[in-house]
Amino acid sequence: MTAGGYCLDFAIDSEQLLQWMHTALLVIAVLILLVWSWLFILRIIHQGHDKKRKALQHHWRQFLFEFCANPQAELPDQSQIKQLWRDTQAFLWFIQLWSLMHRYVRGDADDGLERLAHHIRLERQALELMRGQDVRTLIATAIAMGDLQKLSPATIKRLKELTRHSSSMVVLTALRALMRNDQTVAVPILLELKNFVASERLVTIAKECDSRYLIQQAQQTLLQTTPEHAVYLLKVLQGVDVPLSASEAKQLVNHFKSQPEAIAQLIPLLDHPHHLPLVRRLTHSAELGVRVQATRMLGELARNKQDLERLWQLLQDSAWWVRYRAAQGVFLHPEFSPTYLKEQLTELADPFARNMLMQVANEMNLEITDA
Amino acid sequence: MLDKWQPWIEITQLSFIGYFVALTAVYLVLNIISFVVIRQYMRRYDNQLLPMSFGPLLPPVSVIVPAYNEAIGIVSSIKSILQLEYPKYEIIVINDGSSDETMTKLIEAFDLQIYHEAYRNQLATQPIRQVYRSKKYPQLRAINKDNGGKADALNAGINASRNPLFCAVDADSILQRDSLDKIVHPFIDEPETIAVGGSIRVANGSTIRQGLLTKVSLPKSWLARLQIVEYLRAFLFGRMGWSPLNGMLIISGAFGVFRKQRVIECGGYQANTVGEDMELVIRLHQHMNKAKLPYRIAFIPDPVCWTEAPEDLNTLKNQRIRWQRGLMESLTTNIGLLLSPRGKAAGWIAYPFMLLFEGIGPIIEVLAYLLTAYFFFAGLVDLDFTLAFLLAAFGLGVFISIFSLILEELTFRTYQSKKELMWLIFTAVLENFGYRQLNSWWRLRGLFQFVRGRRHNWGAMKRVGRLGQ
Repeated sequence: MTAGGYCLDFAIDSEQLLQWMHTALLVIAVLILLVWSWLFILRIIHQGHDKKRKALQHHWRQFLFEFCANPQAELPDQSQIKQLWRDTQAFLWFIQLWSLMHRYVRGDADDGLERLAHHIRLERQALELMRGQDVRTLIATAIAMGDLQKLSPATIKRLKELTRHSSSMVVLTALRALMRNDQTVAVPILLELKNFVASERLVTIAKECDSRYLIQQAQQTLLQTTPEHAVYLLKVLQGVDVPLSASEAKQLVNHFKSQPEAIAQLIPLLDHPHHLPLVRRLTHSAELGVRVQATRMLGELARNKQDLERLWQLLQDSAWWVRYRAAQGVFLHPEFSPTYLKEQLTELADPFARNMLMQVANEMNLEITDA
Repeated sequence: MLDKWQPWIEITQLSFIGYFVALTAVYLVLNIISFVVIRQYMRRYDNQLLPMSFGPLLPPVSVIVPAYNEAIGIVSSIKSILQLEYPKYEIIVINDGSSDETMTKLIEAFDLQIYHEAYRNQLATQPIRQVYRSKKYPQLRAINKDNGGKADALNAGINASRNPLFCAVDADSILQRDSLDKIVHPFIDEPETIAVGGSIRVANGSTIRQGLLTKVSLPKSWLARLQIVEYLRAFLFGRMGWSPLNGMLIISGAFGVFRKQRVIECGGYQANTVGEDMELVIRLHQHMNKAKLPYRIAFIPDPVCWTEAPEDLNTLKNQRIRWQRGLMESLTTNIGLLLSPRGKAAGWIAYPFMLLFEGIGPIIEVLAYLLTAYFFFAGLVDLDFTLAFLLAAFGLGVFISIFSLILEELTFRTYQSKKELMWLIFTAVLENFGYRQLNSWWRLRGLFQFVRGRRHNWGAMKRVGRLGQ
């Protein structure tokens, strides 16, 4: 390898090293050729698929529009249906568009889409695909099942199985389909999900059922479950407009008295004036999270002079967010007036509270002068 | 004489080959991981017709935009942020004592008015001169402060932010409308997520209207084209490969979302480094490991943020020198993470890789070129070996660049025409002959500047101004 033909005694032979280098070079050259060819083949395949799919999509898009406009439109023939069935990707595209159209159409158009689905045996074909494990396919098919007016027992059974899938999006879409079909089946499953699907995602599903039924079922679960799961469920319930009675609220606050995080998540549900005494009490909590939420709620519900004074005290709290919510509450209070503010500002010694009032007044487009 | 040096020459050659083989092995592993993970990601998230399951319950985000002498592009950039499709977010622009018209342009374009803010000093910063709020867009605030550097400006933004997540965005970047929506997904799906980085793409050559990217095309400038391939490689296989191992050590300062509480806990951005983005991420790893808390630092491959790449050699040189200094500063400041008992993949794999192959890599690379040339001309090695070694090094570079184009083809296919694909392949080959060596040289200079302890600055960049059009 070297000019002097020198070999290392302690290492590999130099000629051997050169041979290795040549082999490595050959491997790299082959790899480059492979990735090059792969890239070109991919591009050609993608373009070919795009072209074919566009033609098929154009065809079936027409059908969808026709059935929305006229539920009694002429049905596609068997050869067209088989062509759609043969191309799984095209079928998936079709059921996704079919589901999407459900979001925008109502009445006769909805019936038209249902008639088309029935004719092409959409449920049967989708169920076949749902037996696989491809996440994307499972999501698309589960969404479509949620838009069908009636589901077969076999589909319901498979959807129930999918609520235990490892992908949260599959769980979510399967649960949505079940909720639309029968809330008595879906609500217990929803309440059993433990920190699995993000609570923010679960809210949209929970919104699809009767809120009274949901709170009745949830109340029992909240009193029996772990604190972590309770916090999770309360986050879900926050997103749903659930009517909570004063006694139910009191029972839950007592139950969670040693779990401030759960109480902080419960407070946004106490948005009715009958919860005001409880909210007032919670503004005295030593826990920051509870105090912030309670101050916010007090600001929204406050009616009398005592509440205004309490908000004024909270404006001088040690936490920024409590002060912020208190300042908002002061300006929202029905007894608030510029004269009242002027009187209070003259006695206010805390400069940060003053700043906070100025900031919130600015945000609410209120003209106040720093006394 | 020759006999005396021969063992050392052999040792040197073997060391270079060993280094080269180790680097190749790591790159191949990263390539395989990226290939698997990116396909999983696409299957999971690339579904435009999924029901909008988040709605108004998405976590509120504070978008923080530090700006220093950004008069050319700042208005466009803020307009692009104002057009984000996201239910609840605020924008905080921090003018870090610019000497140009940045503040005036902001005041005029967005009708900014003086705002009495109850400003929280959670992180120490240079003095705040004034806080403004837009009359047209109530969610937009601007802070005018004394100059203190990018990190200081970001800290001021964190102090003023009100939301649990903050998103740091460069003032010369254009965001896609759905970028925030996409980047918060990991925070929702995996609550222990503390930071997420997004893919940055080169905007040169593309059409931007009213702060929105309307058409993606290749630029005419060769330097910008080379950077397109470079960015694809860095983001699609570099960061995507580290993400599943929880070994991401860098989230680009151009676009990243962080959990504010965690950032404040570890002291915010460090003002004494030019690589404040990387430094923060490494410190977050250290902080979470020390606190024994579960955490995740993730990456999403979607092209969510578009930035203007330098089109002249001088600006590019300065940028690369700054990046290298930043890398070394970040690594050395947080040396405690290296092989720390609780360091996991970040401390045991990613950190050593960064130090050996990215940190001191330029020394070895430049030395390898120089010594190979010297040995060859001095007649110490023969032509066969020299050519084989160089071709293998170049070939591997070409392979990795083209592989990143495959990842792009399998996912986003941003550049759709065959002609553009051909140009990208050609660029992927071309960058290994000259551009890569030039980069190594600049990085070596960055390394020297780091060793000499040169003072940091904002790293002013000569703007072509495409984003401001």
